[in-house]
Amino acid sequence: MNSGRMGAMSKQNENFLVINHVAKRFGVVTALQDVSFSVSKGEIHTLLGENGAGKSTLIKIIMGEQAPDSGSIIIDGMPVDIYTPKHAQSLGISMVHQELAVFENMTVAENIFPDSNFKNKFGLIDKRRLNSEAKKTLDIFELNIDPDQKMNALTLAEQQMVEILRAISLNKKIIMLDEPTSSLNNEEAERLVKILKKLRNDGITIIYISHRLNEILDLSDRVTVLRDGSFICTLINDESLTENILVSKMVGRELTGSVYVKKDYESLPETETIFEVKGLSKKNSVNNISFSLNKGEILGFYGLEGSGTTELSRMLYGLEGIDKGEFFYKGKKLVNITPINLIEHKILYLNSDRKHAGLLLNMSAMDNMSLPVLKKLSKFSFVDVKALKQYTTEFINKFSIAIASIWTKPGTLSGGNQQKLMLSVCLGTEPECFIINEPTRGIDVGAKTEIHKFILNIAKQGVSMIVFSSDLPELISLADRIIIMRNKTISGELGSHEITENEIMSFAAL
Amino acid sequence: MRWDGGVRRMSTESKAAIIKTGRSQLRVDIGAVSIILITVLLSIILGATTSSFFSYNNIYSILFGVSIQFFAIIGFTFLMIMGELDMSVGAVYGFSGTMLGTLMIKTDMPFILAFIVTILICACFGMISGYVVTKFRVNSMMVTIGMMTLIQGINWILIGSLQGYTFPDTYRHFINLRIGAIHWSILFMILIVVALEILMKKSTVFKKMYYVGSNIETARIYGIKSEKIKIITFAVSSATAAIGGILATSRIMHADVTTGVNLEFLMITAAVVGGASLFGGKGSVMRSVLGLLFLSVIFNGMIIFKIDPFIQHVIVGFILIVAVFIDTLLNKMTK
Repeated sequence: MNSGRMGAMSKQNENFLVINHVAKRFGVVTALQDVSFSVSKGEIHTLLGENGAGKSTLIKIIMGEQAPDSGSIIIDGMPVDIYTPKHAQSLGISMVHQELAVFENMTVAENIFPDSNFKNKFGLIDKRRLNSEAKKTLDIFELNIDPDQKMNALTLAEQQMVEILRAISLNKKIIMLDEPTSSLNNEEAERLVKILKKLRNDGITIIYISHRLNEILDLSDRVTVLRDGSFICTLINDESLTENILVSKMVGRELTGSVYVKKDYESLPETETIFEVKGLSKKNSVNNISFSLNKGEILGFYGLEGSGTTELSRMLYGLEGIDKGEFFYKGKKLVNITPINLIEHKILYLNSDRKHAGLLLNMSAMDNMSLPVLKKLSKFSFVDVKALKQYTTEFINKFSIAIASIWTKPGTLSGGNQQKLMLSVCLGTEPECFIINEPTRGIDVGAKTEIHKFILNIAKQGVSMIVFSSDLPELISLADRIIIMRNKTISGELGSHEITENEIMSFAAL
Repeated sequence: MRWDGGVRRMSTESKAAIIKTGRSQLRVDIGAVSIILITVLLSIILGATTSSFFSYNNIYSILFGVSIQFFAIIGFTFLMIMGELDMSVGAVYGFSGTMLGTLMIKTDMPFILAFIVTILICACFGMISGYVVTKFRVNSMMVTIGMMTLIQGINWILIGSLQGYTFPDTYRHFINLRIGAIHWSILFMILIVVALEILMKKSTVFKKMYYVGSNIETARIYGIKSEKIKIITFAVSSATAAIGGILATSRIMHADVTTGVNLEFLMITAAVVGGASLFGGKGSVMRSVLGLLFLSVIFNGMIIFKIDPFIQHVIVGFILIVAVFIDTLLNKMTK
């Protein structure tokens, strides 16, 4: 049926939205390189790829939120060269962001029509008309929601539906949805799928991002796969397309000869369990997580966006509260899960976003280094400046951090050197268990390989590590064992001999 | 546990700069120097255009005035370094003088004991503010505005009950104790400023304050007890404001409802002029005192030139806006 629809389209309709050699870099990181494909009028076109494949960047460029470094976007035969969201809106493009963006304290109707022109004769908002128009929109999609209700009284799913209605309420031609179903349950997701199909049949073009493969196959006319910022292929969704094909297209890297090398497995001399988690749960975050970490082992955690890995990594270090669950360290139950307490047990945490936290960008390298080890580097609560200088220099040399002096503020360093400095800050405490959240996010390949070598080396010295990474090849080259998460819970575990990209992705996406 | 071997080899492979532990770089405190320069320049202009500015008495009275307000700005600066505001300093400043007088008159407490009890009571108020701010994550400005109103109310009640009493001599003479020819508060201020300037650079306690103010989430990740430090500092802020208030009351010799009114705004202006930031992580007591001195010179000049007190108010407001604007600009630039 789908291929029949395609055939009937005219050339103009087939190239309704053209992505023309689009490239975008953020510093050293290539988000998109030379991406070209086209979207037809009135189709549901899904963008598929791992975390960081470039999907979100691409739709932000189409929405005018970011300008491409090179290449262009052509809509309905007209090249678009002004990149502002306002301009995109005037062209009939709207977008539903991954994070909810609603006015919580306002009514449903006000949320659907935030810039409505329903005015009465006094020039004030005509509330009756506003509500009746909202009711009409809600009815079309069979949503049983009172338009006069406050937004924060709705469930998360209902709020999301309302946000989608806002995106389509203003005569839109192209609607882009970034993982709209990640927080919905199956029934709610099905209802959304129904709405989207209805919109397509009305001739609206939909660009859709999701990780749920069965949903993609149910919904899409075509699927474009991106990997590491590059266009891989556009697949027509006919009977021959399967979830397995999608998985293999998403991963399918040639690992030989690249900077990533599959870790050589050496049987660990000790198999003593050092850290163990039992039945960890938190509502809407993670569900029933249990695992154990062996001494000297690097345990990897992988999950696509929304799978719960981000939340889990923070919970393991007490940065987020939990509802249920027990922690054991060296056979003893940990009672108080706070960073202060965990550091005393020599458990440390490397934060995923060094700009947000983990590094003091406005204080000197020396001040950064002394942060977790002030006590060790002071005498009678005075900082031992001589010892601190020596300590800082030692780490700068050890990790070959390119920095002008120990007084330099890390804000001026490159991402790779910032990351190495942050690693030094943590390692200065001589941790025995190290939770690493994104070891190399946003840094260049050279620094990446260097940091990987450091991490493997530290493991050899007996430090046990839990590594969370959204970079699949990175995880494969570091981990002895990988636990995969999907839908807020553990979906699989792979020992070193079983680890392949395909296997991991099957657990993460299927 | 060391990880030397492999890592050392790495560092020689890559050609990253190997740095040396050299002498400390000559790092001039540009902020402090510029505020000193502006104050000196302003003084020269005032000295050249008026006959009275550079008289010994005038300069001395400026310093004496600053040496009293100085106490209140100590804790206030600590809190600003941690990214918090204490709007109750003015109220505590007014309340403490009244409280001490009440204790001495109504309970016959000796001065020293009444002094200590007053400081402790005020520290408790600060501790309560700090507790609410850290445990319930309430904005410190709002909490301390509440505290300010509360303390003001108590102060007015106490002042009402003190009608017709005069403060005992020990209290009234407290501010007038001198060492040689100079009031003790001036000498004390100089001593404390120098001591704190050294301590704030070298002591681990103050280092932690800067860490918390610089990025509280980072401080948390690396195990700094930021909540405890904050609560204590709120207590310290109220205690130092109380000392200042006791001195001010001792100077005017009676409890007055106007003591400390609007002082919090003077404190913010002085601290921000001195380089403290509303975003935390910056500032020092010495710089705040320099800011205070700068504002005192301006006030003094305006009084010499007989500028209308209402216009003085306008000018101070203007200075605060400019200072905050520059602070925000600098904060954006470093991000």
